[in-house]
Amino acid sequence: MKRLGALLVAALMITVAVWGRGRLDDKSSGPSTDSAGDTATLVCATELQAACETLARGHSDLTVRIEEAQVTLTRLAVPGFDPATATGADRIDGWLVPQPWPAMLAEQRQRAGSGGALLDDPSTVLARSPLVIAIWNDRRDALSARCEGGTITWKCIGEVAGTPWGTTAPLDTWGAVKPGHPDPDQTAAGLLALGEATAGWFGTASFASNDFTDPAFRAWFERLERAVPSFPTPPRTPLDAMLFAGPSAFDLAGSTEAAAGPAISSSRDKERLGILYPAPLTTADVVLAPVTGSQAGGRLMKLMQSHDGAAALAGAGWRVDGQPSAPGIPDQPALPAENNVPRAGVLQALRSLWNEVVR
Amino acid sequence: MSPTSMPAAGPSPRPGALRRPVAVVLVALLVATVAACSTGSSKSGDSADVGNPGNCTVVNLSMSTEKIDLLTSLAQTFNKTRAQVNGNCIFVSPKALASGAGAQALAAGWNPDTDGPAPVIWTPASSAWGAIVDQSRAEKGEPALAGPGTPFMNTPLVIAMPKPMAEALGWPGKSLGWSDILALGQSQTGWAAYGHPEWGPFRLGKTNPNFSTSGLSALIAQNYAAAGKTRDLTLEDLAKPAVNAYNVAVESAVTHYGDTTLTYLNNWYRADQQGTALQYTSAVAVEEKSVIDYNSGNPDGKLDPGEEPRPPRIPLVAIYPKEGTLFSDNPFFILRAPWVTDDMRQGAQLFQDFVQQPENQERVLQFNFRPGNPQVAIGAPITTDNGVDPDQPQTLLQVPAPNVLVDLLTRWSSQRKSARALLVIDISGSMKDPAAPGSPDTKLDLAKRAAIESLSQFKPEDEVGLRVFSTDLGPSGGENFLDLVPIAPISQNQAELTRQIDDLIPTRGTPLYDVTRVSFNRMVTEYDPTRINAVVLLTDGRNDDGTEGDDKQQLDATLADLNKQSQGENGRPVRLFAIGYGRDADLGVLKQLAQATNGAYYDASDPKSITKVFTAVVSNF
Repeated sequence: MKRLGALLVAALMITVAVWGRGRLDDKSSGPSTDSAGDTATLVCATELQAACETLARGHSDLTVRIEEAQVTLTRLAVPGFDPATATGADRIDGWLVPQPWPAMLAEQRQRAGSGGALLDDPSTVLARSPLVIAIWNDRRDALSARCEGGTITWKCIGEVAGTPWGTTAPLDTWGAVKPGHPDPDQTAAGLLALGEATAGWFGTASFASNDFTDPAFRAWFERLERAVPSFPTPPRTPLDAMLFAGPSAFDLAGSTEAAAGPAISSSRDKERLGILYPAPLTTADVVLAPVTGSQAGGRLMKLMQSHDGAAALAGAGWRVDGQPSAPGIPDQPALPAENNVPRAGVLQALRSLWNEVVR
Repeated sequence: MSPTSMPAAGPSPRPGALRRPVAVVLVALLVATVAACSTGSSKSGDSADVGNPGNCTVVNLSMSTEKIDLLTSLAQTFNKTRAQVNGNCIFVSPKALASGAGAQALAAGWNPDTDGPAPVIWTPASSAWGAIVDQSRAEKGEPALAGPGTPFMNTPLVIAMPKPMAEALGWPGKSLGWSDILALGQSQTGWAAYGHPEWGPFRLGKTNPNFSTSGLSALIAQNYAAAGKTRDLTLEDLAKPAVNAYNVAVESAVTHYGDTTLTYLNNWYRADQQGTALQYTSAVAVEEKSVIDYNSGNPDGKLDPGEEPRPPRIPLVAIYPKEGTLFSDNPFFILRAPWVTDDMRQGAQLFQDFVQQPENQERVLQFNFRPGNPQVAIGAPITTDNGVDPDQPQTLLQVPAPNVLVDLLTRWSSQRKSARALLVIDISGSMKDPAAPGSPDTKLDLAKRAAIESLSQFKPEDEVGLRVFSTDLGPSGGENFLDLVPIAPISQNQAELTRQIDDLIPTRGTPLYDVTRVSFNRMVTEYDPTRINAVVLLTDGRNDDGTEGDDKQQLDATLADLNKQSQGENGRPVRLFAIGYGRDADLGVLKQLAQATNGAYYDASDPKSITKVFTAVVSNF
């Protein structure tokens, strides 16, 4: 009898659990099915602007806000700030951003003793994009001749950065070697590109911040970053400047493939501007981190994992399993299993180093 | 176009660079000086006719003057689309305002009473202006108004040269740069070294870097060349004696300065029509679009009613300096200002998107700019047939840090070519008329104040003298002019000039032609080839020497005399800068007189503008 009672109780609990889950699922089946009519606020890193705006156009109960990753991180890292209860411009229900920004936030809050986690565990990786180098074809040919084995790597780029291209025509009109990448102080793509370049020098992404004291590395890093003509104010990037002003602005620039591929393939310069995949290849892996305690967090998760979410990301140039590639996004090279992104703390240290060297 | 308003373009300074305290000085210097002249001879404040907004939400658009035709056309098309925000139609209302004046107004918070309708969109010639405004406000603890802009078209700074001269230097096979051009400027033999003694010395055209972005950009490039660098110009570089000597030598090749490249281009075109283009100037730093404008026979980029573009006899070619150059990127700033409502902001965004559409970016090409939308090919008229090269430039120069820019400008004020100028001021009876109805000041009162104020803009080594003119002057009462202060270094005679100007009183007639000719001839006789030689003539009237019947004959004789003596292989380049003051001034005649000497005329028909006009005139020195 006791056993039967236990079974009934268990069955009841399961029923309640299933019913409860169903209710939750109903609420998290995407903004368009929200019976309460609440608007969910999704904060997107700048690199994901196109995908997020596509989603917002198709879901009237979704509000997207585009920010540089560092802006969001700084906002969330303020002690006592609770995005789940905030209103207006401070409200955040979920953060769509490449890895490892959620981990960077957690680490920063932990160091500051700011209490528990602000974000739930991020989703599995929703989309990926390799960090590539956009380079003018004539610069690629000239640079290949100066790189070991003819292979252009960030290590080689750093070694020749800031030096004259040559003294004979047409190289004498190219000035100094001008590399570029987005602002690593503010943007995810910038810091990831800087991480990739640094991994290129060390030959691995498993470097640590104490490796930065290596004088040879330091000299290389300074040469590379001080040869960057400018860091356009986000959301503009060096690639934008290349497409706007031609090779006079930058000879080459780090970028996500998602930003570079479609833009170059539709540009007037598609015949003279190409993409390189440096080794070791880093990828920007996009995740959704719901805000802990946000009722809309689950809905956002479901939306991002839905066909709409995947299609929006793929349409914006991100590689998404099962989705067709956007124009300008090739099938090859295949992406590495690992993202080759340095650990969160190491990236923070790299950002600090960059500020020390450049500012 | 109006290069008076163009700030330095090119790569943005490194992050944080503008936060240095010295930026305040830079901002004040650039904004104040550029804005000071921007309402003088420019087209500031031009309104565009785009119809009646009706009940639509009005998005005011403030644009630099060279874009007025293009953006007016685009606004007209946009307004016809009846684009809506929250159920209200959007109406874009463009108004031209020199970039410097716009920056000054925004930095001060914008006063609609004096600055016109408060803009929702501001599009100066270069993004640098947005940084200057925001930096200026940040130093005062005020929030940014501009933020990062969205460039919508661009044009690089080039060195324009007559094609035969460029070919003599090895163009197009040889890469040329600032160092080549500027070394030629220092050459004692000039064009004779290239087999063309008939072209005379190398004459360089540069605008005043305190007023014109083309001038500032050229000065930056010149200093990079002098320092043997293409980036990271430092205060230490500028302080090197060799760099200073290089700059002084280069400046010695300058014909005159001025607030706008249009003066050079118009004069060059007229000289071309007379067959003396190669003697007027050898090279001028201008925007690429100006080369196309010139070669199409429209040197100022704007056709007057009835005017037909007629290509010059000798076309210009654009030299893209091998060391690098700078861009004007024409950004759209949707202002973060308290007067901008959400609806206005959204409407502005719609117009910005509209302007970026490929079919509208094609129209950018019609105005000789390069499209900002990378999906639109850079095609005609950016072609080699028009003297420009769509594959150039290949590298940009880095804009120096603000403190270096300030030092560069400060040093230029002493490095620039010295002047030798005769101020010739009309003291005829009409100068005693009120400056404006009900004004306690006479026209002469305002002119005296402006003239005295302008004296401080000369450098100590400049030589300046004062002549006044009217009829029945002198002890005998039979003179048409009086030399009140002999020409001498202003460091010695500024007090006397000030006193004499202050004591001026109106007298009788206006023997304009006679005094112009006599004054000009005097400066030709005393011509100093190491200086900019000029007559600055201020008059409020028409020729009135008591004999009406011979005016036409007198004018023709004067024009012929001025033209003969100032132009051609053996001419002595004395320039006449004429100011038409008040409503009765004969601007048409003054224009002819100035142009006969490859000088410039200035319209001060509103007496209140005289201070700004004097500032613009003195920018030639």
